[in-house]
Amino acid sequence: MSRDPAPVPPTDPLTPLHSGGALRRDDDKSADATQGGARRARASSSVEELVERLRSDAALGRNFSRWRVAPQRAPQAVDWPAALDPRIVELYRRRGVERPYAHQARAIEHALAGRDVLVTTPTASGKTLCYTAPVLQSLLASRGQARALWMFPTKALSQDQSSNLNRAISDLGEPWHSFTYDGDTSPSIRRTLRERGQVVLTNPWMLHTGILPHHPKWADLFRRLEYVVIDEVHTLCGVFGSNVAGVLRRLMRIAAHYGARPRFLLSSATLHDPLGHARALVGREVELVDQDGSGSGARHFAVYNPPLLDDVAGLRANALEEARRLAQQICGPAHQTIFFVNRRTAVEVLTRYLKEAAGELGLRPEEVRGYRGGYLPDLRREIEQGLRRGEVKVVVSTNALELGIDIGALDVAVLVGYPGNQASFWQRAGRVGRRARASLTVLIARSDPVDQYLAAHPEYLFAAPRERTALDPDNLVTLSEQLKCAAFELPFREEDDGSVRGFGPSSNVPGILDYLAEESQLLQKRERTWFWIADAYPAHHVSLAGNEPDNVLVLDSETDKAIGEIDREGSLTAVHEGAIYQVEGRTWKIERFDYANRRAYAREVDTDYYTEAETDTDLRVLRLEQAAQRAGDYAIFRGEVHVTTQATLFKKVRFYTRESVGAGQIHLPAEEIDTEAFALVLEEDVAARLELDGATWHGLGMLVRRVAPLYLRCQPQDLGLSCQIRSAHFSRPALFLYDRMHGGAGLSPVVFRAHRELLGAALEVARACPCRDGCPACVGPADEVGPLGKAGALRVLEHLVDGPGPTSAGIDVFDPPS
Amino acid sequence: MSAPSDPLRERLRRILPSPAAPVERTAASASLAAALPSALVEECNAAGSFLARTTRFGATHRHGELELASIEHARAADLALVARDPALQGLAPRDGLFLDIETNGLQGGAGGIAFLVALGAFVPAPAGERAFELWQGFLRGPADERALLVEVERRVRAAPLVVTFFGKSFDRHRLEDKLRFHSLPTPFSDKPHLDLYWPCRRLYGAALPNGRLATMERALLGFERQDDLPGSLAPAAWLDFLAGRAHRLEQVFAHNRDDLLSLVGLVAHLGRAEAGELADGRPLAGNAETRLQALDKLRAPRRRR
Repeated sequence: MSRDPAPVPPTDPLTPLHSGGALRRDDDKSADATQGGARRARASSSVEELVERLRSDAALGRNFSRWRVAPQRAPQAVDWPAALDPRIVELYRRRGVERPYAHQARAIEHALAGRDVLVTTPTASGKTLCYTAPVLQSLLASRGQARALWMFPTKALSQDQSSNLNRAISDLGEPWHSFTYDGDTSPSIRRTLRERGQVVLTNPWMLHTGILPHHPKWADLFRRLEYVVIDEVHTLCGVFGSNVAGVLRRLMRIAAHYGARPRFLLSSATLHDPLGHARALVGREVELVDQDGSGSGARHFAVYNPPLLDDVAGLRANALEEARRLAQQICGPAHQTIFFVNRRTAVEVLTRYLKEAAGELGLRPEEVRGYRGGYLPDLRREIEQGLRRGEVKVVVSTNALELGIDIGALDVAVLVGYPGNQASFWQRAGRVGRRARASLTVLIARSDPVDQYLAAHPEYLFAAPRERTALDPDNLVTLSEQLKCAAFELPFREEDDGSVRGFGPSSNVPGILDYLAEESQLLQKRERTWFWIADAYPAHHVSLAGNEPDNVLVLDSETDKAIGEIDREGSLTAVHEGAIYQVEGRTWKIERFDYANRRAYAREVDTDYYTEAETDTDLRVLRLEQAAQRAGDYAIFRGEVHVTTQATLFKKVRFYTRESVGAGQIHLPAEEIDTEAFALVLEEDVAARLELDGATWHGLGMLVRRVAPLYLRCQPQDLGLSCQIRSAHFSRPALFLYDRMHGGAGLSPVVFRAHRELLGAALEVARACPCRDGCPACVGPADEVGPLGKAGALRVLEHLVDGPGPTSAGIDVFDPPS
Repeated sequence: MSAPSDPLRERLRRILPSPAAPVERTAASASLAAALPSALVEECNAAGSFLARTTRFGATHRHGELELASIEHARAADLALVARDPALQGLAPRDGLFLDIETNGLQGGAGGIAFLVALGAFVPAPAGERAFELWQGFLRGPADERALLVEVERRVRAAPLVVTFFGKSFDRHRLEDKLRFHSLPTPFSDKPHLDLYWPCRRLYGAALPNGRLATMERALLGFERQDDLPGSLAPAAWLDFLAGRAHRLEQVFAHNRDDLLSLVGLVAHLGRAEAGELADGRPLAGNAETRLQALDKLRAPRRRR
């Protein structure tokens, strides 16, 4: 923590912030079209006034833990790159972009020089131009012969971008086309599109199942493919990102087969290690463009920590309720406000409340809108347009508005709860801030370790990103599944030295291909080449998200309609017989769980309780791969483990009071996975000196797991936890954090590298938490960790964090510390 | 190659989903060549080599109730009408190249393989008559694919007309995909193509349980297959062959041969649709009522859409 600037006391005058690129914004995704125009310039006073009003508010003011401001910043415009076709320069000039920002010019120069580029400037800094201009140039230079493939993480984004691009092409007076190719594209026009489009906009799923396996139909595209554009690459991480990296290896192999070597144009939110991320994703060294040259108005930031209701229990006021209170001060006709909530139901609840209160806010109810994924496309387009035109004054949204859908720039963003990672935080904050006008972003902290950490350390948000992305395309499961798909698409050839080229650095590739040939009988090896032979279409059975295809479907027993879906491991505790399954505030009781057929049947009931299942987790070490130790004190390991999870019984817990009103047994087979884990092992005498007991160890583990998203990009539930007070493998206390994904998701190596920071953050949270004996915002409630649990966890964390970190000296993975 | 007991193999066995149905692994037969269908010869070209079998059928060869020679009396005009394709008007049906493929499955995509391609055509015979020559190109393995496709492309390009059953929807696209895969030219684009599936459906669909070739040949040609291996088992037969068990391959060749001969018979039949009888005066087989109704509809000027 020592690297961070000293926390700014809440009573300080507004403090200028000079922390670099992360704070500067400009208009919106369509900055190409608008950045030079004098758009909607209004008086710059109202947000400043609002900030003063909030700071001095008698009831609310003291709940703001920090205020920060990034001062107004002038844009850095430069000349257009000399190599850029004058017709493209003219196109942008007509659209009001007289001169590009410095980062745009640099990105274009790199691209035109044939280099792969990653642009990591913030939301709304005009990234679209960075990749549109080079693509247009390639079309002009080849008279429409060149092709480009654009990949977006969501469908809505590709639709948006396709119409932008088609406008640019028609402004150039050329007969070329871009088109969106996704699940909605009608089969009857697919062929025409394939043959006639210069630019194909698609998403990772369509590329994986629809385009690559059918590459002969797309031979013209691949043969002339010059650019692969990938937007929002920070979203490509974890199992999903690792699979997409595999999809990209397949793409490049196919392009090479048809004689093309396309370049990558990537864009991203700021990342901990952008070049490493890009390398893992596309397998190349890319040029990084991260100096934002766009301008912005002054940007105010505040973290709002809801008041404590109960000191002992550490209970704070509900974040959504506090959002309502803040809305009364914030919302009004003078500016546009966006609320980000993390659940769909919260969108509806808050929207309804704000519509009802519209009159008091000086608004008409129709100026308040909700927005989330489940809305129909027409409705969403209408709301987006209302936002762009300034007609919608308040919008309550899920992350559906987080990525670059064009809604213009708003004035105030209220984040109800931390979205789980810095990139999302900045994407959401990036929705506000116009060039000539001040903006405000407020984060409302929940009773959650990460949120409370941020309330105490808002500087974390403003410093360089610290979450490491886990991106491991060479993870054995991911690699094998992607190799299967790749082998279907093109044969693999064995080099003279027995290696296989073109699918990443892993030395396991030939061994996996042999396995797929000899045991799965999908391939046949002849003349040093592995050929696909089987009657199968592997992409249909390989899910990019890494979930096994046997998710459990939750069905209404009366109508037989699906009401939900849950992954295999979660099903043990969520849809066992007798469980209460909740969907958007409605409660369903599971009547039957057909485990073999992956279906649970539920009946809607009106209950005053929910259920909590208990599981026994047994973790067995199979093989250790990496180790480090602080000699005679503690050691860390990374390796393969076998995890057996058995649901044992469930409690019925009354809503609100949390009192237990009954219990039942769960009779389900155990779930078993082979995965990868991080282990923290304590020496016996150290544990004895620290008076470590099982409940303390568990509370500490829970806390470390829950702060993990601060340092690695994941959700707490992506990590499994097993706290063993005497591990069979190590014969001492061991705490395991494992990837809750069969085969591993690449998180454990990241935990191994970042474990000191995780322990440090856990200590900070436990120390700063006002509760006496533990609460949900730190080690867990006292009735779970015991009356001495919090003190014990603090003691152990202090011991671990104090002093130097472990080193690999004198330790061997085959030889646990003795 | 990694030994079956190496650590990677052990790990893969643990973490990869096991194949849906365990594949039986029987010992390969002693000699591959001994088990191969007879009369296969190796054909070579610049792209490599593959195996092929050529079989000649005399003009008087009977397929069901029709002689192959009866195609001489098929009328292009009738075919153009029932196929709704004026491009067929000026083409002699017996000049057609009859085409049918067997694949490793119905899934399609880059991993689809046409392991057996049958091309049949009438050729001049010594006695001044014509004979029907059936050529079946066969892959010993996926490595032969390019060489086979080069030869198929050459033959198709030279033909004035291609005749298939459901080939406009299946065979053509499979071959085109693989030709593009190998960056070879695609000969089908402007090639007249008579796909017998649609006319058969139009004329007799209402009277028959389904539109499959086996149904049509039985109803229209009176052809009953002997000891037939259903087409759906062809992929497994080829995979067996690749694994060293060639015992069902001869049946695949026979099935594919019968498919192709049925194409000839169906052209002979459909080319007499308007006449309603064969050249020798025998009435056409098949349900005359549905045929006449369909013909009425086909003759009516098409409504503008």
